[in-house]
Amino acid sequence: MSSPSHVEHEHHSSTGLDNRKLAVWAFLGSETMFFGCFILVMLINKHNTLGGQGQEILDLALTSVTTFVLLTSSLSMVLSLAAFRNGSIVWGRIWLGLVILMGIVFLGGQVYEFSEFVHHGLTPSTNLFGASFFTLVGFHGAHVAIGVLWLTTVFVYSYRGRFKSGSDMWGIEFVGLYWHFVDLVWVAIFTLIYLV
Amino acid sequence: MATLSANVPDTRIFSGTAWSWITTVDHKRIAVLYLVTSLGFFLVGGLEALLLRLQLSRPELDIVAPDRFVELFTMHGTTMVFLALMPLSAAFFNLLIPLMIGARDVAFPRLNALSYWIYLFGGIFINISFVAGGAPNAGWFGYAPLTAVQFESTHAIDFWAFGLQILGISSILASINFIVTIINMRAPGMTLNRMPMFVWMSMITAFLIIFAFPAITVGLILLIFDRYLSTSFFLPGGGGDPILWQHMFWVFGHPEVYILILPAMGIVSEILPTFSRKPLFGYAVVAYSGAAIALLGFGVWTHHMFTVGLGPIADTAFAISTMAIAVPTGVKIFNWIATLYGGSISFKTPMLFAIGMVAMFIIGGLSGVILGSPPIDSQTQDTYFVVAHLHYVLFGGTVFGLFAGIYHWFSKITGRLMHDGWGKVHFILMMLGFNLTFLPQHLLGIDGMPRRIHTYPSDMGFDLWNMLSTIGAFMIALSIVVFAVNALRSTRSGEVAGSDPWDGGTLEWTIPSPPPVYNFAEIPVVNSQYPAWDAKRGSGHTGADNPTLEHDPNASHSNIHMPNPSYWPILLAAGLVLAACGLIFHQVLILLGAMIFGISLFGWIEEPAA
Amino acid sequence: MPRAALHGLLALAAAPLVIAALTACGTTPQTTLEPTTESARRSLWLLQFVFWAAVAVFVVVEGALVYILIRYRRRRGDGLPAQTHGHTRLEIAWTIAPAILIAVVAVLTVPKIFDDAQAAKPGDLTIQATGHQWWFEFVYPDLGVVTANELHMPVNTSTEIQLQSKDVLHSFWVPRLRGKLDMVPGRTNKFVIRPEVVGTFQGQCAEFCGTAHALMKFTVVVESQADFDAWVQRQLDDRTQPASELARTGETLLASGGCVACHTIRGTDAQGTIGPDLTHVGGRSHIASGVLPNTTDGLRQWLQDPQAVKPGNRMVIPSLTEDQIDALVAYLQGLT
Repeated sequence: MSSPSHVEHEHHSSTGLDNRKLAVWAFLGSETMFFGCFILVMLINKHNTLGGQGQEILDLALTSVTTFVLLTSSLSMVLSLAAFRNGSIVWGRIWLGLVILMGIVFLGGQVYEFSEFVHHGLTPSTNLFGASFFTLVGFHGAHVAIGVLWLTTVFVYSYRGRFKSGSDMWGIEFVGLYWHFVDLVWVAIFTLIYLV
Repeated sequence: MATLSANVPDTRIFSGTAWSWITTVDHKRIAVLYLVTSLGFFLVGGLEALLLRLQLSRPELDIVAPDRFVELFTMHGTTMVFLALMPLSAAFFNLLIPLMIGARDVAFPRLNALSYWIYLFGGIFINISFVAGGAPNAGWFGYAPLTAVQFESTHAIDFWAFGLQILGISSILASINFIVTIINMRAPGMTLNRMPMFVWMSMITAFLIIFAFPAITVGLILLIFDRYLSTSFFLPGGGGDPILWQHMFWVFGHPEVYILILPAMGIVSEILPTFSRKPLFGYAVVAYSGAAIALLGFGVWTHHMFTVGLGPIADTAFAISTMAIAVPTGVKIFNWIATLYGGSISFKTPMLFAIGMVAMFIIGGLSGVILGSPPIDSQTQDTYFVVAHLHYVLFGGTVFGLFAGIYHWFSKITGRLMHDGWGKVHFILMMLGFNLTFLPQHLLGIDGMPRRIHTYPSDMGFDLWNMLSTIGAFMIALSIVVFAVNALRSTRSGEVAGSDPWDGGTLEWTIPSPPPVYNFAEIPVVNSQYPAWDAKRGSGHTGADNPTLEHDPNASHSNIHMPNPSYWPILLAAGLVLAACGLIFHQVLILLGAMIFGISLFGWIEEPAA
Repeated sequence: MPRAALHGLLALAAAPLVIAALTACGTTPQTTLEPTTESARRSLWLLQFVFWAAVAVFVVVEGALVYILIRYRRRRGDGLPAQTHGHTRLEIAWTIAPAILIAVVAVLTVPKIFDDAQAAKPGDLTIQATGHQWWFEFVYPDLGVVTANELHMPVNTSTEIQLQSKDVLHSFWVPRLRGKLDMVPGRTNKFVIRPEVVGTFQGQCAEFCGTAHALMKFTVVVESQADFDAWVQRQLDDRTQPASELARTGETLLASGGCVACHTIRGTDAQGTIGPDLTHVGGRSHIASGVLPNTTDGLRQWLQDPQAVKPGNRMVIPSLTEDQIDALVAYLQGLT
C-alpha cells in the first residue's frame, strides 16, 4: 500500500519545530556526551606515555591542513543546502560532491597519520596516550566515514528526483546537521589534543 | 467514530495475526509487546533471585556452586535493571504518552518498533550466554580488572558488554522518540505545565537516558578494546587505572537509578490523585523536583566509591551532593501525602500499590541518607545493608509503582478490569514477603555480612536473618503467581471496564478501552491539568462515558491517516544483533548481520514514512 | 478489605522497631556494633545518630501517611473533596525542614571524614597488606616480617596499613577495628588503625574479586607490645626443624612436590610467591585464608582437596595418599 508521495507533515507541532529536526538535536546531544567521554579519557591520559611516544609525535602541520579541509567542507555543505533550496540542483550537487571529496581527503589524512604513528612506534597497545588517541580520533574518523557514505547516498538520491525546489529538503538538512556536528567535534579534538 | 458495544470490549488491540504483531508500529501494541516481554524477563530475574536466596538460606549450603552463583547474581542484576524494569517503564511510556497528550501515536512509529525489537533480541542475546560458554560473571557493574581477558578469558564478559551496548541503543532511540513526542505533539492548549505528571517524569527520564548512557557506551568500548586490542585503559600494568572504569560506570549508573525510579514516581503521581479524587498537590514542585533530581543525579556518582580511597576532599564533596539530592526526593513524598490529605480515598488495588510504593520508598530513601555519609559507608559499603537499600528503592519503589500502573491501566489496554480481590491478595503477600526479605538484610549488613558471597559460616550471626530473607523471597514468588493468574484470567473474563472505570482526570480515560487504533477521533483542546475531570464535572455530567471535550476546529475530520505497518524494524534489529553474535561466535555472522542491517536501512528509507 | 490493608501497613510500621529490639544479642565476629577503636566508634556513632533521626522521620512521615489514609478514607455518601492544588508556604516549609536535617548530618559527617583520613606519623608501625585471589599477604617492611592471612598488631599503637593488590580489586575490612578500604591494583591506599583492645578480630574481603570471594578472610590479633615483639621474633626466626620422622617425611614431600613453585618456607628450597608464605604457618589460627581452622582435621581437609574447599582457587594439586597427607600435616603443624 503506497502513500501519496507528498505526505504532508503539516502536523502542527507544539513548538513549531519539525519533529525530525528535534530528534536530530536530541541525538546530537547524546553524541556530545559520547565524544565528551572519549575526549575526557584522552585528556586524562595525555601524558601517560610510559616513557614511549606521546604528544611530540603529533604532526601539527599535517593536521592543520586536514582540519582546514574539514572546516571548509562544512562551508561547502552550507552552500549545497542553500543551492538546493534555491532550486539550483546542479550547484547543489557540485557543492555536495566537494563535501564528499574533502571528507575523503580528511580521512586520507587520518589514515596517513595513523600509519605514520604505527611506523614510529605508537599503537593503541603501546601506552595510554596511544590507546586514548587512536580510540578518540578513530571513532571520530568512523563518524566521518559514515558521513561520507551518507553524503554519497544523498548525492545519488539527488539524481532520483528528490530535492526539487520547494519540496522537502530534510534529506540534505539531516546529513548537513550531522556533518556540522562531526566537524565541531573535530574542532574540539584539534584544540584540546593538538594545540594545547 | 466507530460505535462500540459497551458490553463487549473491542479487543482488536490483542487480535491479529503474528505478522501483524511483527510489523506493528502502533504504540499501543508495542506497549503490549514491551509489557509481556519485560514481565517474562522479570520472571527470569526472579527465578535467579530465588536460587540465590535458596543457596544463602542456611550456612555453608551446596545447592548452587560458587561459579554458578556468581553468574546468577550478575544476571539477576543485569536482567532486572535492563531487561525487566526499564522495558516495563517503556511499556508505560508507549501506552500512555500519546494517550495522555492527545496524540495519535509517537513521533516516529517505526523507530518505536525498532527499539522494541532491539531490546527483545538483545535480551535473548545476553541470555544465550548461559548455554554458550557461561553467563556474565563479574557483577552487573563489571568492575575492572576482574573483567580483563586475563581474569575472564571466556566470552562471558563479551556477552555482557555487547549486550549492554545493544540495549543502550534501544533505550537511546526510544528516548529520542519520546522527547520529540512530548515536546512536539501535545494537544492544543496542553502547555508543559498542563501535562500529566507521568508525562513530565517520562520526559525527564528520556533526557537522563540520552545523556547518561553514552558514559557506559564509552566505558564498554574501552573495556572491549582492553580485552581484544591490547589497550590498558583499566589495567595498571599498561599504565591504566581500574578506578577509571568505576567512574565511567557510575557516571552512567547513578543517573540510571533515577531512570529507574522516575517513571514509577510518575505513575504514583497519577494514581494517588485519581483515588483521592483531588489533584496532585504542588504540581509545579513535583515537576521541578524531578528535574532537580535528574540534574543533581549527575553530580553524586562517587558515593558508590567512598571506599576506593579517593581522599577526604572528593569524599566530602560527593557526600554533600548526595545529601542534597535527598531534599527534592523527600519533597515529592510530602507532596504525595498532601495529595491524600483531605481527599476521599478509595483502596482499590492500584491505590494500594501506589501507597505501598510511597511507604517503602521512604524507607529506601532513609537508608540512602545513612549510606551517604562516608564514615558510616566505610562500614556498610559492600554489605547487605546496600542490598537492602537498593531493593527498598528499586523493588519497594519501582516495582510496586509499576504494579500499581499495571492494575490501573490494564483495562485501558484490554477493556477488562483485573480482579480487585485477588489484586489485594497479591499486594498483601508481596508487601509482607518483600519486607520479610529485605528488612533483615539491613541487619545483616550491620552485622558484617559482605555482599556477593555465595555462602557464610554458621558462627557469624547471619543464620536467622538469611533464613527469614529466603522465606520472604518465596512469599514474593507466590504473590507473583497470584498476579500472573489474575492477569491471564482477567484478559479473558475480567469485568468489562468501559472507558473510565476509575473516574480518572487525564485524557486517556476519555476514549474507549481498548482505544481505537487512532486513539482520538478528534484531537481535544485542553484547558487544564485534568481535562477529563473538567469535562465530567465542569459541565455537570455525572457519567463517566462520553465526556464533552472541546475539539480542535482546525483538525481534519475526514481522514485519520495512521502509519502503515512495516517489517523493516524487526529486520534491522535482527541484523544488528546478528552482527553482535558474529563478534562472539563466527565472523561470517558479522558480515551477514551487516548486510541485513544495510538492506533494512535502505528498505526503511525507501518506504514512505506514514 | 481496606481495613486489612491498613492493619497490614501498621504492622509493618511496627516491625522495624521489633526487629531492632531483637538485635545486638551478643558480639558476633564481624559486627559493626562492637567497635574497639576510635575510628570504628566514629562510624558507629554517626550510624546511630542518623539511624535514630531516620527512625524519627519514619515515624512522623509514615505515621502521617497512615493517619491520613484512615482519616480520609472514602465513606458512603462522600462528595467531591476540596480540589486543593497546593500551598506554597507549606511546600517551602517542607523543603527547608529536611534541608536543615540533611545539613546537620552533613556538618556532623565532614569532620569525621577528615579524622578518618589522618595520615600516619613517622615512626608508626607499617604493614603492607596485599590482596591476592584469594588470600591476604602481610609484610612488615621495617621489621622484615613476611606472613599471610593472619596479622598481628600491638595494642594502643598507631599502625599504618598500606593496601595494594596483586591482581583484581579486593577490600580490607575488619569491622570491629575500622571501616573498609579497597585494595586497588596500581595504587596504594593507606589508613591508620589504633587498636585499643587486646583480642582476635575477624576480617573479610569486601570487594567482589571472583569465584572464591566469599572464602577470602583474615584474622587480626591485637596483643600487648611484649607479645607482639615475641611474635615478630618468632616470624624472623628460621623455620622450625621437623621434630618427628613423620614430619621429616613431610618436609621431603613438600620439597620434592610442586609446592615449592607457589610457597615460601624460608631456609628451604621453597621460594615461591604465588601462594601464602608458610614459614610459620603452624602458628596461625586458620588456614586457606580464614576458611579452615588450623587443626589436623582442617589441614587434612585442605590437602585432600583444596578445590572442594575453595572452588576455583589457584592450588591445584594431584591427589595425595592418606600417608602423604599425614606426613605433610605433621610437617606443617610443626612450622610454628
